[in-house]
Amino acid sequence: MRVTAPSPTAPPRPPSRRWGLVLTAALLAVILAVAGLVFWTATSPPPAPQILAVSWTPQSPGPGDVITVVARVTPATLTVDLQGLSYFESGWSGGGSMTPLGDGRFQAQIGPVAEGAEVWFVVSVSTREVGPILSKHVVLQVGQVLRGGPSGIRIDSVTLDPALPSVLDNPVVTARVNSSVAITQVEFASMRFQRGGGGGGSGRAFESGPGLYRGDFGPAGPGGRGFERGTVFFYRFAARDATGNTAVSEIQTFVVR
Amino acid sequence: MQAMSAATERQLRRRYWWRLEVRPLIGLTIVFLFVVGLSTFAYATLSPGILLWSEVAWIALQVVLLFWIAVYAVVEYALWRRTRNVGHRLQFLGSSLILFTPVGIYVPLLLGGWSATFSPPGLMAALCSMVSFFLGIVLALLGYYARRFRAGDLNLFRNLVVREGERIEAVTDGYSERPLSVTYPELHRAGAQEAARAWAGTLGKAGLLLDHRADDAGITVNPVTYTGVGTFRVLDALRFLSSVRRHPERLTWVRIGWDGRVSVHLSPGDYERTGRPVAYHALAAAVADAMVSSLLAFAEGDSEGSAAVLLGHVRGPLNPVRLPGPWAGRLGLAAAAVAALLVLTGVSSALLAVALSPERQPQEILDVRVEPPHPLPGQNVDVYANLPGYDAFSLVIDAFDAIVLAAFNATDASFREMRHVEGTTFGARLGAFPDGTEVTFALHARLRRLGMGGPPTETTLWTPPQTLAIGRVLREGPSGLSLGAPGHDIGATGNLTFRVRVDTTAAVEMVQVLAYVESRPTNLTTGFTYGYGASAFWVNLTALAGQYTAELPLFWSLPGDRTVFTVRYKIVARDTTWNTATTGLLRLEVTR
Repeated sequence: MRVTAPSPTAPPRPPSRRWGLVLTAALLAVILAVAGLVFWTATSPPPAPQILAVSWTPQSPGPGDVITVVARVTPATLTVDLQGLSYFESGWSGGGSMTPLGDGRFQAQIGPVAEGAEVWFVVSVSTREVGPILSKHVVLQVGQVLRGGPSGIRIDSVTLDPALPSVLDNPVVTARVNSSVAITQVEFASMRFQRGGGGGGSGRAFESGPGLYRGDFGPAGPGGRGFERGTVFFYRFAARDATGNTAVSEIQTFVVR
Repeated sequence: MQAMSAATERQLRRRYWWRLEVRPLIGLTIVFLFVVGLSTFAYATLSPGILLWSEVAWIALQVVLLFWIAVYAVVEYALWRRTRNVGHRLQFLGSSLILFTPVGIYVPLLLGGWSATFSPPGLMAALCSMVSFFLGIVLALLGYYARRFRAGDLNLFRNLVVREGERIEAVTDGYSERPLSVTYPELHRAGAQEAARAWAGTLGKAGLLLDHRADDAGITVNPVTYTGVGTFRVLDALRFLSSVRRHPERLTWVRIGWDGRVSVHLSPGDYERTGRPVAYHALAAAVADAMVSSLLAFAEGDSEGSAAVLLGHVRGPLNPVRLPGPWAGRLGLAAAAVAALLVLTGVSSALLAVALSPERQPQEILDVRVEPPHPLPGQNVDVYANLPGYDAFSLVIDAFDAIVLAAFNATDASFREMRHVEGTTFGARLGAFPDGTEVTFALHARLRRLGMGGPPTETTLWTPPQTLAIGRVLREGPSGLSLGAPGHDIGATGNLTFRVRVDTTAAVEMVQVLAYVESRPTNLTTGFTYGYGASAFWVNLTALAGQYTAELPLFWSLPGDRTVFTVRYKIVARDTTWNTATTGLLRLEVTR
């Protein structure tokens, strides 16, 4: 026989071994905390977005310049869009998401722009619940854009029909363009900003009578979302006559009902 | 016989650890990397045919791994139920949690699509899966390696027989089937039976005894004698579990009679594991000695000592033997509660994600309604419809239009885009029509659902055509205007020619065909349908040889292509009494 008696060298048993329970409780707490965090993140509305500042360089672009637009927004996790278009010398229109630079700063480039063009752009942020929230409109003239010349070109009687467009309406804008000389160019420029992000810039102008022009906002686009309720539209006419004198109508807006 | 020195013990433990644990692990890793590497190589570089093989190989590997883990879980469960050892319980819980991992991720994905996966409950299920995976690994390793859950590493690398064999210096004999019987007068003490039952239960929980059976004459115990690392131990354990249930006499057993007589049987496998031709009777006597010593130590209140005897342990302040106490049971219970909570939360979240997924909505256009239901002349006609699941993560709407074919006092063949109004509701304005106009419309959607690694699934939806009479449209008047069955063919020009017979007692004023044509070109070489086109137009039919005919131009198709044209059309006629007739919306398909 070998061992028949308790060993005197055995260490005393600790009075309590609660580390297992503590570990389990801690684990449960972590699981619940992470689960709560996931639910909170997924279901709670994000903080209201804000556009703090929009800057661009060069301040007065020349022909061939590329305009760099930088926007500062909060919170920094947003998707920031820039919509823009130009008229007179180039028919550029477009936009999209700006590139994040970090620290809530986003950047996009426009151009190169042509001599005599006028560039119009707006920065927007939106979430599924809030927005779109828009920056101030920025209109830049590239090089020499003749305005208020002796030919007296002007755009008036700008009318939106229907005045309060709803989702299924096909709104049409008409305007009268007057000049003492021949009118060589009339453009209808429009931008749309949708809730949840997205939009576009485009527009078509048709001459519907002597001096009378009509513009529309194009199709609703993929998924038919272009005329959803709450979509914000901006539009204006731009015209030029044979002397190179130009005129633009005021930037006008409507929100789809 | 004498206790081994600590140095010898450490040396032996290292040897077994290397042979039974590290080497198989390295081998498994090499095989795993080889298979994965081969699959990845094939996946990245070889032709689509091979790519399928690599996918199959990869899936097979995953299935094998999961199957193995499932077997492991079952075995550990059986071991836990039989021994009540917490280490086995933790390993069972750990392997079960690892098995749950794909459930929380793949159930929402496969049954509810990407929308379910990225919904809040889907993310919760994925989170539970990830936590389960890591917690499962922790629990399984803890249950396997932590010495607090067993008396020692006896069943990890060596068993009782092997240890006793190692302690015998003289190697003089071979194996025998005959059980050895020895008598121990010390077992004639009062309370020995109760002590023996408690001893067997306690050592079972300590992971030293696989099973015990007590009766009026004595108690029979089966010491744990399977060895090896987790992966390979499973097969051994399965065999032992099966034997202990059906043929316990074939395993190593020790029968302790209340009369002091002790019988020992060593299984051939256990004898072989000693690795040396030790005398069978000496080995069996050593095992009997160890078991009785253990029982007597336990009966005298030294639980740790009773385990130390079986372990051949060199005890001391720095090398204590500890049995898992009540705290281990509570820990096992808590781990089970956490695991159950995780699995329940994960499964319910996954099922909720599936149930709420917009991708489970049927793909159809529902609730088509016209506003106003009975439009007056000059009044805008709007059509609304629901497209369930349109906002699903993986659904792309390529087109959603209202096809409009208007005839008589206004003629129009065109399509209007359906705009998103709110929720799943879309709408389009068909327009305002003058009195005496008949408007037929149908809604048409082309949808693409993105696949999970495969090509997208395309769906084309059509609603049944609806016809609206704006104001008064004269039908079946006294002139008896009627249209015969229309015919069609593709003429020499490649255009589609329509023919129809018109009967009336009055003069025919006009006959028109209004059509909406879809075209799908397929390259004959590749068999790939690469495009889609649609157009709507109307054409007047002219009288020719007793019938009215018209040619409808079809889009050209490229050389080497075969284009299928689907034409939805209606032919309308009106005579001088303003009586009207129509064929209704018909459908034909031509291939060019």
